[in-house]
Amino acid sequence: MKYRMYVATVAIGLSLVTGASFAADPILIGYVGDLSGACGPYNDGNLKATRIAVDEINASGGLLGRKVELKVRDSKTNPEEATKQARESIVVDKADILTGPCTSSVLLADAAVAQEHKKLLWNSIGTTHRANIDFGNRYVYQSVANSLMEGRALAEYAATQKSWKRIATIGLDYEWPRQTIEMFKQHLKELRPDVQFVNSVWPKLGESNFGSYIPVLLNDKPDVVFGVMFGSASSNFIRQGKTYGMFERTKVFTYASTYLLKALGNDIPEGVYGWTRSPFYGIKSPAMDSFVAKFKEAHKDFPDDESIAGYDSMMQMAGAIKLAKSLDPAKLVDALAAQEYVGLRGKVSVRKLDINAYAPTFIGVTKKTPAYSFPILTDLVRIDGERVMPSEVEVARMRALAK
Amino acid sequence: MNILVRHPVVAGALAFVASASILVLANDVWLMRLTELLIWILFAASLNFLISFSGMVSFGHAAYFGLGCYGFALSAKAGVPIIVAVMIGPLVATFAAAIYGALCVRLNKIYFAMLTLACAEITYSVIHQWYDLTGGDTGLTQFAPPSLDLGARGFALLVLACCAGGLLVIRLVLNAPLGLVIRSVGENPGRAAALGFSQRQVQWVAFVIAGSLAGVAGTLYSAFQGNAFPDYAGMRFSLAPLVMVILGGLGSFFGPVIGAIVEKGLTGVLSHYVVFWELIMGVVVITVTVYSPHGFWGLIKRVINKGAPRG
Amino acid sequence: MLFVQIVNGLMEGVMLFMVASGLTLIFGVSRIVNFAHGSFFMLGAFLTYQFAPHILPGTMLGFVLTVIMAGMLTAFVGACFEVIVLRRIYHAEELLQLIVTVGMVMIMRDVVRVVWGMNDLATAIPDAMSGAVNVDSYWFPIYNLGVMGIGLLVVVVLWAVVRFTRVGVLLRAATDDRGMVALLGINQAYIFTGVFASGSLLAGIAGGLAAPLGSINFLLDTTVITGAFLVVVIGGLGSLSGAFAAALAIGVLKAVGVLYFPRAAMVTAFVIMAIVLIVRSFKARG
Repeated sequence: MKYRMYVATVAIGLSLVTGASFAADPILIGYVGDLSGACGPYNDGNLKATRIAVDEINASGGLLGRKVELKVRDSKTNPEEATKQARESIVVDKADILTGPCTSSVLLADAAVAQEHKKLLWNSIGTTHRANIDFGNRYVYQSVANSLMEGRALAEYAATQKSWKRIATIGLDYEWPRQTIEMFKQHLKELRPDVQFVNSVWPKLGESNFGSYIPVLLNDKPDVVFGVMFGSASSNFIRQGKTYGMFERTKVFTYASTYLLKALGNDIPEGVYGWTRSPFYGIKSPAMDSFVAKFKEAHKDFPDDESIAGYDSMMQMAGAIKLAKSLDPAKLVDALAAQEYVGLRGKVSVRKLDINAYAPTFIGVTKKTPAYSFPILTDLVRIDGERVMPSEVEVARMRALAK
Repeated sequence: MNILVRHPVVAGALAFVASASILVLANDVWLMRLTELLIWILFAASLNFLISFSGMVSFGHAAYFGLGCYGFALSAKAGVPIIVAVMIGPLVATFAAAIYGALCVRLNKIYFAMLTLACAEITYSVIHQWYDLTGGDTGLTQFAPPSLDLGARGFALLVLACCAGGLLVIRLVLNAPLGLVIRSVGENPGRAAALGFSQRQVQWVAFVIAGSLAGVAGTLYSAFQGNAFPDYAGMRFSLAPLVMVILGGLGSFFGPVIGAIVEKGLTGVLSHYVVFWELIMGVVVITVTVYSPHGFWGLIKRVINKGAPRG
Repeated sequence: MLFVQIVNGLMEGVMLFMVASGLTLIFGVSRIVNFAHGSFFMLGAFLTYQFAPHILPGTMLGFVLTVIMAGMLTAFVGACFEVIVLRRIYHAEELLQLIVTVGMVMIMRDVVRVVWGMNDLATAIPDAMSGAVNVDSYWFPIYNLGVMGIGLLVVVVLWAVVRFTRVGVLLRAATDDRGMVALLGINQAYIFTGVFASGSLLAGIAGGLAAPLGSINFLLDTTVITGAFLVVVIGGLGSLSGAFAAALAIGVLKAVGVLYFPRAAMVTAFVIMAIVLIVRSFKARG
């Protein structure tokens, strides 16, 4: 309830300060996010940036002559709770459009509700290709690379590492890691038939003691351990990996978003291969500089990848609403695809077929630099969505298979 | 008022007509909340049948609820016509209750409870780990049209019908000769033998009835939420109806109805106004358990009886 | 490899026993199935997180003191709960006793959420115990070995107390026959409070020791309690030695399971629990 009061005070405060007056009811954005639980920190950064975007939109006159309002609900990193909150957001709060899901399973649960109530949902944190590609859900816009694209992008990178011949995998046992590892394996086998996949382990989501998994991973003497996990699972994996000498005995290739690098600080060794989705330090543009400055001023911290994606996708959606002159999902999808959007991540266009952004993936190696108090990914390689997006034929085949 | 307490059938019929008219008039928000509440009432009532009348305290009633969900969801996903799929859910639950029940009724009291817990955890783990079939932690979504294509109001009325039907079944069973035997076994296991029944057989029948009703609740829940998650067979869903039964009051037919209303109502209201609502719920649960073992229904009855002339 | 996983499993097993011992002790004497036992474990972990930076941080002594302090505070909370609530309900049905402890789970969970927030916390392994012992090409973290040592020490102390002291005699008497103790002229209430506090102490210490090995969050309670039930039931409710054997077996099963049947480890454990109970039912019949 704190959030709700916060929204209210901010809204009242803003209207007093700006003195702006809006004729009609506000456009209500239902932000159903995982504010608590494993995803909490990611959603925190995402929500902060979404608020910045909403304030900017309102300061410049709102959308369609209406003010934009955020109504926040906590889905607790739990798909069942997410279903409930998303439904309440639409039915009780009368949200016009939804955003906020973090884990892929929450995204899938929300997507089902969005379809049921015919409201558009967009995501800027968690990813899976199941909703928009396999199920062909016309009410979900993926503004980040989906698990299929991400898995392929990582395989493209891995294929260029000639010394990686034996790969062990570890993934938390749920949607995103399963899909990502599957796509990574498939694509890498096509690119590099000589690569061999050795042991793979699947700790439960919520597992935080990897003591009995790490020795199994290392047993087959892999050249690299490919790890798909996030948040405190990642921190625990890396911290505990150090006590098992994992970083001396093999290379590690894992999801290393800005949040994780900040949280781990010097606990993450140098030389870890990591990927991320929109690092503020890896994209040089005046727009990014001004956003980072604005975020730092408001929150005394660098923005996370999820912050950048949150701001970027909110602005992109605002553009689409202006273009569509409507909140109707089908018209919004047309507008998203028609729009020439250039944002913090550069130009990001949207394909109508699966309502997916051609979003990039960034891959690099951890290194301490004098500029930041935490290690960052250096020697960044940017793999754009265009390179790894599934073809229309593939999409059709996947949809047929899912039927 | 006295007549309502004395003749639960009259009270039930009145409650049914009243609920139906509320559902017809309710707006979207209330429709949604009442639908969920009715499903919980059915689920809690099925557990209450086991606990209050058959003397068996199950810690794993969510197993049958969860299997009702997955039975429905998986068959709908496989392309079975919806009308058949909604039957398959409860059937799967009934089947599981028949097997688990046969094992569980061999034990008494705390050991019985522990075995039901083990059975539920086995079910949960299988659902959770069998990724290829159940989608694991991600669960299943988009397998059936929302609200079974009946619209929110139509679906709510269907749920009401099922809930009332379920309560009626429990009532009829309790009043039938079978129910008398079940009750006597619940009160005193030795007595059944004297009546010429095997205690285990009687308990098994009660267990299967409770399991299949929980399966109906599960199927409805899955259709209502439009999804199925392993959680539905997990510990949280085993404890929730238990708390409702206790809040409503042990040993009474309408206890779980009141319990579900109190639990859902309190949670809804409290979580709206205070951050630490679960703490308050905890205190309420403890207070009711310690000071009013007959729960809120017991309180209501006392108030009604005081108001009415004795005799 | 198998050897490594068995060692890993034994380490986890000792940890499991630490949790389960308190639960089985409480059940043995007062016949209460304490759902809140996991919550006491969780409290111990959070308190360790809270105290660790203030008591000789980084040293072994500091860490041991921290964990003991966390355990004592947890025991105090447990004793309060027993005196204020449980004592009023010993005569009532088992179900009601259980529900009261479920109420306690809800209370503790919220207290933890309000005090420490919703996000995962972590506390570092004390510097003095970081690092690993290398055997062949396998690494065994010193901290995990240390925890196993402490756990075994607790086992020995528990066994000695039960076997050789007057308290132990009372405990055994109470486990066998509650009326017996009353006949001995001992105030039963003291025994029940004492046992509940000791059980909570064990849970708190276990939570403290486990704290550096993973995330500390408000979901720990239910995660821990299912495992503890498993051990206690397989070991035979109320039996300490049984719980010890069961804990080691479950620990090894889980670790070896990662190697050979990664998806089925949990199911297997609960199937064993069910089989133990069913076999019991045949035995009871004669």
